[in-house]
Amino acid sequence: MARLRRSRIYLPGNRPRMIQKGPLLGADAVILDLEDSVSPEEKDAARFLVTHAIKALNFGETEVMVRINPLSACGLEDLAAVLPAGPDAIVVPKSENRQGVQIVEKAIIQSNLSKRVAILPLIESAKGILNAYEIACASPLVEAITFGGEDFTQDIGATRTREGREIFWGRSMLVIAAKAAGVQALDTVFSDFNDEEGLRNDTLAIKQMGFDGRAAIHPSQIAIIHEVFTPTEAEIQHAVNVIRAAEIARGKGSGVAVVKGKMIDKPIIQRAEKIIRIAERLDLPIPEPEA
Amino acid sequence: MNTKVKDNSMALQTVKILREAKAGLDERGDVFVSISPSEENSGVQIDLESTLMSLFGDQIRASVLDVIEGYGLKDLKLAIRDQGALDYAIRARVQTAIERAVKEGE
Amino acid sequence: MPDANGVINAVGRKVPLEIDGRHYRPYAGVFVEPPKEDKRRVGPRLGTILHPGEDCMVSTLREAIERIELKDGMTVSFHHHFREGDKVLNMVMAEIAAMGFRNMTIAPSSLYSVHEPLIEHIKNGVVTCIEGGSARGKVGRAISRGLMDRPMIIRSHGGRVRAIERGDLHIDAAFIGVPCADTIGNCNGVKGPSACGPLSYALADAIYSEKTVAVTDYMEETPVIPISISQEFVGTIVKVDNIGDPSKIVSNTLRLTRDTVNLNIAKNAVRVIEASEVFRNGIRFQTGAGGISLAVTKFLGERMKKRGIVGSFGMGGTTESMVKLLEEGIIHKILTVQAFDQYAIKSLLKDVNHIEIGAGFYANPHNRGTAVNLLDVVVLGATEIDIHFNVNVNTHSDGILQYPTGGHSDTAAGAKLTIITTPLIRGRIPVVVDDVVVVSTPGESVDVLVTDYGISVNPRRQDLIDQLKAARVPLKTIEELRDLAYSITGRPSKPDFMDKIVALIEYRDGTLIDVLREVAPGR
Repeated sequence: MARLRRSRIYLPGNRPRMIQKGPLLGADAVILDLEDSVSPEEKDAARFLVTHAIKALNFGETEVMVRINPLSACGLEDLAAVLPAGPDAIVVPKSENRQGVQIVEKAIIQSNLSKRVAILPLIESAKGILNAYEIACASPLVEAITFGGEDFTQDIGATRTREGREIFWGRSMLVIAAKAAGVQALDTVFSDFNDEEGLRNDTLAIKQMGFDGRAAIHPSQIAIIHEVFTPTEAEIQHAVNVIRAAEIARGKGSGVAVVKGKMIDKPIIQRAEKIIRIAERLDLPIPEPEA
Repeated sequence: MNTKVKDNSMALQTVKILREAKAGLDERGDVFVSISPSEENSGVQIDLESTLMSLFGDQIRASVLDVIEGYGLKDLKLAIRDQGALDYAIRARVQTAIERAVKEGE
Repeated sequence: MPDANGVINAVGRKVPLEIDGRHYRPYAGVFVEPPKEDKRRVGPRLGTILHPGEDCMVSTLREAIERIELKDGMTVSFHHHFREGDKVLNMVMAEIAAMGFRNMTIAPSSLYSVHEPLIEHIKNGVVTCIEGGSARGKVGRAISRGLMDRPMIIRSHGGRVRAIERGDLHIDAAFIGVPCADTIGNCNGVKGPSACGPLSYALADAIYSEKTVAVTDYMEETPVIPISISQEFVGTIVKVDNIGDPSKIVSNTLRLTRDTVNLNIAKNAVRVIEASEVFRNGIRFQTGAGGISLAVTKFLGERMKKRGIVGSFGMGGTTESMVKLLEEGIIHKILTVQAFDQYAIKSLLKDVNHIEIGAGFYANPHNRGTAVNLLDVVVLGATEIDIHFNVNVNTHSDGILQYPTGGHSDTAAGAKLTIITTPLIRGRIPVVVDDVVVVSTPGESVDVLVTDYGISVNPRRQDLIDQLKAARVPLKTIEELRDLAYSITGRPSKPDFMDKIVALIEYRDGTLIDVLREVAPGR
């Protein structure tokens, strides 16, 4: 199973104090950003700072990603500098086609690291959404495709709303493309960090759409995002029951198991297994099946 | 852009401070570094100020010298204003200042 | 083995047995019996009588100082309920200096950066000794750099009252800033424009000093109600325009921290409390007013509500967070020794179950009953903590004096469960270290450390370790936390000290737990 990426948070790559907080925020992933949060005159400084930080700091369980600049700008120089430090993943902004991913893949292979570096294309334009499936399939190193809601909205000339109607279709296409390619679908930020209820509702909605996680714009959002994406005790119990029922049905040779009056078919078993894997990954208690 | 020079012998031949350069932000947790060329044989002159002088002054100086040695630089003036930056950030900022100071062109 | 420089005490610190004309026993443990001695509690001389029709009013500070017959070399005291908003100390000392007094000892319960004018008084020889709680800001820095010839005495809240009652700290004149007074000397701190809440730190001064002067800016009909300090103890009252800046005395409202990391520390502290045996009906706890403390109060209240637990009392350092627990019925009572916001003051005034307690009632270890001994749990901070769980709350890591002991060593001694909450590092400064600069509170009285990088239990408390393990609370050793801190910051050099002792850290029982030396001039 791929890494858990319920939450990821951007840290400005030129601010030591912010980078150092990374391990403490409790996010599944931090993104050391060389792009939007770094001014043009400081791109070189951020490159050095992030490279040294990855080598020196202990991020523990947190995945360390780097968002490079667009490949059309200084993205290649970013890759040359940071790859030797061994980040866990590269976030590629403004991904519109397979070529971008392949250029990054080549750079990763040439850097000759002993560890695997994942590629996370960030899709934030109409063209990118239309090419989402080819982007997701462009390399075995692609483990997730992520949605950049703000830039996407600008690109299609829409207006951002709290309910997110304007990005619904883009989000949906991204999920479908990701799952067809067998990679994770990760969503954009919920910008109003004072609106906890709004965040919870929006996160629940995207979970139901099939997203595996989303970005946080402020550390205070991480706990709520995790709450939504973490299986509850009830969900885990139900999953355990489902798997047990399926085992029993298989053992008896009878066709289909039933749990709580519902027939258990293959997709339900697979979802139950995924819940158990997430629970194990998070070290949550796994109860015995109910009689 | 010059990538970090690892081989000292190569460094002695090719890397020279061409101009004044600065790096780092004036805020807590960062270190402001200012580098300028100096006459031949004047040596490495470091003017170090830190909010944590009595606790980390020696360590900061050692790290700065280590980065400079890595480039094989012999004559330069360096002013450091540290506000409690961790070691990796000090090295990164010194390296940034050096790279900006040795950049060809312009 | 004692030598000319002193003996090694029970926390491994070398302390003198005699210094500046004072004799000390070395710190020997948290609850060591004091030697039997034929001593009595001190008291003011008899002879001050108020006749019918008289009152205690004088028109100016100068008159007050003349009336009490202040002399060179005497000791004057102040309380710190007004914190950075205090005007009384500066006002009184300016008058004392103007009147030409010299060689005074001052005994403030604590000093703040607003008391910077003291530096001039020290330089001019007006003040030659300070017996207090600590010194913030420039005063603390100046003392650390050797400004004074005589060492400063640093005591906890409880230790200060003990010293007053035994006569170790003999106060000739207590100048008590009181927000509300009447013409014959009854005072409280809950009314008036400069309201501060309780007058706990001034009570012992009023009772035991030779002369007591109440300085007020607001008067009410005699007798004022409530009575925090009684007319029996106040001999002189002077009304001035303004005794404090209300905006700095208490906040309008203290902000709960939004910092995720601090919130996590608070949540983990509550997790420790909930897993321990003290988490049951009747629980008695104390938290403080810092960002993490407010969050601890809030989360603890939420967990108590969820588990149907009702507490007997909360004590503090009282804030709106604590008062809300009282209002919601999650605790029965509040005992207040200092108010931090307007909400707490209003509650003290209006709520029968919210009472003011004097510093002696709160923490004096040598009386017949002290409130800190009732505590089940206290949550405290630290500037440093070492691998023996000794805590430094008085200085920064570079050795500069800044903060008071306050109730830290008192509550740590009395409470069943003492929790220290702090980030593992502050900027580049490691909080968990091999050795603290000074020991303010001994490790023997500290049970758990909760940081953003992990939780550690004092090995003395195997019972707690078992309880936390049973509750699946992950634990690290204190050495692991120290190593983690040093791996991030690098190992710091020890700050340079000179030989001269600038402060004596007294433990609450009057023994000497550590000394602070002059910081060497910068490189």
